[in-house]
Amino acid sequence: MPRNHVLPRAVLIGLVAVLAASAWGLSATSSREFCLSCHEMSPQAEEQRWSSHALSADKKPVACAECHLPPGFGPRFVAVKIYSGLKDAVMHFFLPDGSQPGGGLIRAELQPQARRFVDDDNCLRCHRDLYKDARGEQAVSELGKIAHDSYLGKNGQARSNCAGCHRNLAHLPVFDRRLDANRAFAERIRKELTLEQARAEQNPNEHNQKEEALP
Amino acid sequence: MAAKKKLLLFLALALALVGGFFLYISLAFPGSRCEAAKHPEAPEKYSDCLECHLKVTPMAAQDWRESKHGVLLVKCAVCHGLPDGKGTVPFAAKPGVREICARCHEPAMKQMVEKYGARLECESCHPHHQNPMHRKAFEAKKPSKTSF
Ligand code: HEC
Ligand code: HEC
Ligand code: HEC
Ligand code: HEC
Ligand code: HEC
Ligand code: HEC
Ligand code: HEC
Ligand code: HEC
Repeated sequence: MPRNHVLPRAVLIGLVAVLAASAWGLSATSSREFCLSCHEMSPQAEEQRWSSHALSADKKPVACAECHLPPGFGPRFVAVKIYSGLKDAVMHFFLPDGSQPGGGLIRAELQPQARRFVDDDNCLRCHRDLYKDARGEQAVSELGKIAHDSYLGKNGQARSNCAGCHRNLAHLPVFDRRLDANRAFAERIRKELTLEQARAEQNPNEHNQKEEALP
Repeated sequence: MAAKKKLLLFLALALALVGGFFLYISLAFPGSRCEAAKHPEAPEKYSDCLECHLKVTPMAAQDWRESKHGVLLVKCAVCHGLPDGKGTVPFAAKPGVREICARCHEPAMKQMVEKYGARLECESCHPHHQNPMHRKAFEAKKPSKTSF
């Protein structure tokens, strides 16, 4: 084989290998297990278990990536992946208390950043019709209709994206539990977490096992 | 010489890539869907701003309700005006200190000006948990409550 044919082929094979590896890498680093390999992310996951978004309509657990990464494998997905991935990884080593659950995160400051990258297309994947309620059965409430009209620009023009109006859908930091809009969610967390605590106090060993199994 | 040129070219390319990346991030994921927001029209609901706003801007609405203004029912429209512009003051997302606050707080503001000089960043002295207006109402440089 002439020498000048080997190089392009090697490059081509290399390119395919890199593409395959990155496709694998992109999906492997989008799983819930991967996110939870860092202790910082465990309070958010714990809260999500009691949220309205623990399970999807067909009773499957909702993965972190279903909200936090844009759908598909387009440029938006790749951009968020690189940006958030690098930021998370770098901050992981600079935060004061990275070994603790939730260690060192200033959640009030992370919320607006998270809202910015929660793509509306993610929400629309499950909530296709903005004039229906969460189960897609009945019409949305009157206030919901006005608000969604303003989101769509039919009546006024809202600044917020979905996550900007619908806050604390999956997570509820302590400082947001006072908010009226979160009453049901806060109640659920309070009840379930005290139940778990009581159970743990009765049987400390079981608690330890659970702690290990969680992240 | 050629090596140096190549290095420069490489550096320029890398810089352009990184710059392009951040440009894309800021364009594709802006902090707010539009600059010129417009309030939805629902005049029959304007008597109860709070009910709707507890859902569309939960933080701003609740901070108001827990503040002295909320407890004493200094209503939304007194500071913000009515969205259709028919209120006693023009509609504004960020009411001005001199135009609006001074209407009721002239004496207190005068006292403060005498003591501390003209300081318009009310929030820096009237602490958070008292929620004088909305928690961060006067941290002008923070992102607005209706941006996400
Ligand atoms: C290397 C450990 C690590 C992993 C793995 C990780 N995170 Fe994070 N994450 C962090 C740290 C540290 C922060 C805090 C960043 C900061 O302080 O700016 C963070 C912040 C965030 C934020 C806040 C908003 C933002 O842009 O910073 C979101 C949302 C988030 N992570 C989601 C995820 C998701 C979804 C996954 C799985 C795909 C994941 N994280 C995996 C460590 C990690
Ligand atoms: C239903 C969609 C949804 C799912 C599923 C979800 N999140 Fe979030 N997340 C959000 C939204 C929306 C925000 C913006 C802040 C808010 O309004 O609560 C957010 C905020 C965050 C933040 C930063 C603010 C905070 O509360 O600390 C982190 C970190 C985070 N999510 C991690 C995760 C992890 C890890 C998972 C998976 C266990 C996950 N999220 C699953 C929607 C979701
Ligand atoms: C995996 C599918 C899925 C995704 C993604 C998703 N949702 Fe939901 N959502 C659901 C289901 C299922 C329910 C619960 C319906 C019920 O009450 O049975 C729900 C409930 C809701 C509710 C009503 C309950 C509440 O907590 O107020 C709102 C509002 C909502 N979703 C908005 C959103 C927004 C905004 C996003 C984007 C950040 C989003 N959803 C993403 C499936 C999803
Ligand atoms: C301007 C604020 C605003 C924006 C933006 C917005 N919503 Fe809503 N949404 C509301 C209000 C208000 C309601 C009515 C809530 C109620 O009646 O309790 C509502 C109701 C809903 C419901 C039904 C909740 C239930 O209890 O059944 C769903 C689902 C929903 N929105 C999804 C979305 C999705 C998806 C997006 C983004 C495409 C979005 N919303 C954008 C304000 C908004
Ligand atoms: C039927 C629901 C509804 C009612 C009633 C309502 N608003 Fe609003 N308001 C909205 C929506 C939706 C937005 C856009 C929120 C966003 O962009 O996230 C908004 C935004 C605002 C803003 C911010 C505007 C901006 O440019 O950011 C102000 C200020 C405001 N409303 C004041 C009022 C006042 C004062 C009243 C009572 C006279 C009132 N609203 C009644 C739905 C309502
Ligand atoms: C004492 C006067 C006062 C009252 C009463 C008041 N506000 Fe405000 N509000 C302000 C000021 C001042 C700001 C500007 C905050 C800033 O500069 O970021 C503001 C900001 C807002 C914003 C955010 C605008 C933006 O884009 O950042 C909303 C939404 C809002 N108010 C809604 C309401 C609602 C709803 C009520 C009634 C429940 C209300 N306000 C009552 C003074 C008031
Ligand atoms: C309609 C009259 C009115 C307007 C307009 C008004 N306020 Fe007030 N404000 C009051 C009243 C009444 C109180 C309660 C006074 C008291 O408790 O002695 C108050 C209390 C306060 C306090 C003290 C809160 C505390 O916890 O001690 C601050 C700070 C304040 N207002 C700031 C503002 C600012 C800033 C504006 C302009 C955006 C404004 N007010 C506009 C009527 C008004
Ligand atoms: C440098 C700090 C500082 C700043 C900035 C500041 N205040 Fe004050 N304010 C004070 C102090 C201290 C008092 C108590 C004054 C006294 O008792 O002599 C006070 C008292 C008040 C009161 C009377 C409270 C009551 O319960 O009777 C009002 C109303 C008030 N301020 C409004 C404002 C407004 C409006 C602004 C923004 C224009 C503002 N303040 C900015 C320090 C400040």
